[in-house]
Amino acid sequence: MLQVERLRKDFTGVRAVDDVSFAVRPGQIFGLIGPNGAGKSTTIRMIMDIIQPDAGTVHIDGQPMHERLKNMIGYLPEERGLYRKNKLGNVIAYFGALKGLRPADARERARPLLEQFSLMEYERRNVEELSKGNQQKVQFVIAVLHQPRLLVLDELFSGLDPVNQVLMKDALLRLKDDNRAIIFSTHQMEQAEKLCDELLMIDHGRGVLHGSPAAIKQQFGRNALHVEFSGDGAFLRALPGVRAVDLARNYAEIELEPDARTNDLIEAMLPRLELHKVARIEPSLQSIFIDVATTDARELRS
Amino acid sequence: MTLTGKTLHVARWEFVERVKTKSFLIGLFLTPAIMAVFAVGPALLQDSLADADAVVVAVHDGTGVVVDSLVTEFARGPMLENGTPKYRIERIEAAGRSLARVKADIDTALLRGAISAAVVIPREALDSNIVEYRSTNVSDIESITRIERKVSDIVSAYRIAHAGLDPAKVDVLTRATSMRTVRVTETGEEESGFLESFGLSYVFLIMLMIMILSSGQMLVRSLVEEKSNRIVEILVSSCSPMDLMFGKIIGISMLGIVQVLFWSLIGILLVVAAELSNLPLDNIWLMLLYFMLGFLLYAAVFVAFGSLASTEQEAQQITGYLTMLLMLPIVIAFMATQSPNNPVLVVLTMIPLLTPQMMFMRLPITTPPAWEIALSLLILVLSIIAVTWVAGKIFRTGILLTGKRPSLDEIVRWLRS
Repeated sequence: MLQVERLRKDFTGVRAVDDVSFAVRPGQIFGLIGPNGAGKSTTIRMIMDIIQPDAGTVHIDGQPMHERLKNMIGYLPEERGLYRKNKLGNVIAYFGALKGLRPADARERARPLLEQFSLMEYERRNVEELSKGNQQKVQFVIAVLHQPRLLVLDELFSGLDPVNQVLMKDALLRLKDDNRAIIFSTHQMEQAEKLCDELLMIDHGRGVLHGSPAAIKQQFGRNALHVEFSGDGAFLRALPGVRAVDLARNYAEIELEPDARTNDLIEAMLPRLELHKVARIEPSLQSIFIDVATTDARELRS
Repeated sequence: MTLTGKTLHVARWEFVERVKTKSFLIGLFLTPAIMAVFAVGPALLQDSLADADAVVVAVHDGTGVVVDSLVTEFARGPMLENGTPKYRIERIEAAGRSLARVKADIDTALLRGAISAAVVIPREALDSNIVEYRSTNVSDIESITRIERKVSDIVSAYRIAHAGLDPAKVDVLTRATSMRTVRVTETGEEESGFLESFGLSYVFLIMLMIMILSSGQMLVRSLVEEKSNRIVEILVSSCSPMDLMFGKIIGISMLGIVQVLFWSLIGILLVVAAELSNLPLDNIWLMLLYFMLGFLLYAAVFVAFGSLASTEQEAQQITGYLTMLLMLPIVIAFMATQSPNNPVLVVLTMIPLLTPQMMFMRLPITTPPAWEIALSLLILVLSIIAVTWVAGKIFRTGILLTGKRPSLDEIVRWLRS
């Protein structure tokens, strides 16, 4: 559906995006993750033909980006943009028309979507009367109105309360089931982990991690245990094979040397502590993200 | 440069959403109302102020030949609304007082408000030709000139009679000749005055300026709003920048046309009401053509500069400069009233930013040679195409730019790309 190859963009002296490549298939949710200012939005703007890349190509269905292709893409920009002084229904009809719908059809199609997000009562009111969260939902309605085959959603969940986040997540999964290709960028790792089939982490403009959430976690899996107990755990630091301990009153997170065995550690603890729980720690995407971002920054400085 | 149906959607949006706004409707009705107030207001005000009360004028006539005639003259007119004379003349006799004493008494009466003005005609006035108008208020020009003329006429008549001549005969002999201006056209001759010749020019000049300014401001405003809200990202990812630019120009031009048509309608009604039948309308279609072309040229200039602004403040600055640019042709066009066929004006007419305005001034007076019209139209159309092309280049990059205003170098680079 979408092929991005070796994209590069320089802004006066700064390389904002550096050699980024990826592909998105229909029915796939593709996550672009990375810290603020990493180059996610710049990459997305190049895909959307808003800015021109200095190098690299964007292909949709094997064709280079072209005016005609714009009708099959839906876009939710990072900085939300709606006309404020105009009626919601008219704004939707206009944006729909710019995506090739007849204005009346756009209005018709928007109704069930507005109903779904409980926005119907605002249809005849000015956009400025809507709350931020509601404007966000309107922006989503505009992005999906023309049933695009490719959806590009920049920071979809920012500014939404938990109830609406669930609503939005359900809507997203329905679109995925409908075989649409979805790119969504976020710096909320939990969301990315739950929703995405494939992830690309961008840092300082470069793709630093690429793969499914499971594969990435495996790649960064650490040898670490979470132990809950009663007793004094101070001795844990001195045990052989232990690299680091994060000690609390009744639990500890223990990082082991790569070749140390869990059973040896348990054996050493048994006589001295009353153990309640021992569990292997799965690295969260969050911690991988922070790890990669900070080491990346260190490498760049050195 | 490809335009699609989306151009029309943009145009429709700009037109429909703006035509409904209060500010547009207010402007539509308020502008002619303000003009009407300016045109009629002062006259109405003067009428209502002037004819309220009779003006009492004391006259001391040392010669003894003026005051009687003055009384009869002012008894005939002008009249107040209630049919009584506006000026009431009160005689002041010397009664043994010196002239200085008479003046002093008059001044007391003036300061008390018993009389509004006094005319002192000294005995030697018939030789010295000087009479005095005394009042606490010497800015009532209308009364002063009226009295001055009457006194002067009476003194002249007295002198003529005194010299043994027949005043009626002298009047006939010294009557001034008046000149009637006749404009000769191919369809025959017409009587025509300054108002008929240049009235239409001014109407076109001012209409063009108002239309460019109001539309230009709307254009720049809408661009700034879309930029600051980042709506422009959705727009540009849905249609091409060219669709957007032309859609905006078309939509807002339509708005301007509605405005001008509405005002013209009012104007035509006024012209019919005022029975100004001999306006020089033979070149009206040509003038309308120059009007539209001129508007398009300036609209493209506005779009190019407007797309560089990213805050309301910058937008105001830019429209400020462009307003100054608009004043220049108007100032120059006024010079054209003096000598419409001056060779310098012919050269100025060929400068596209001046062409419409110069032609507005020249066309009602005389029809320029065909080659001039053809050449000026050609230059105008070519420069519209060129400026639109440049505007498109600047617009394409400019609308996505926020924050720092681009340097000249950068703009030149956009033009090359």
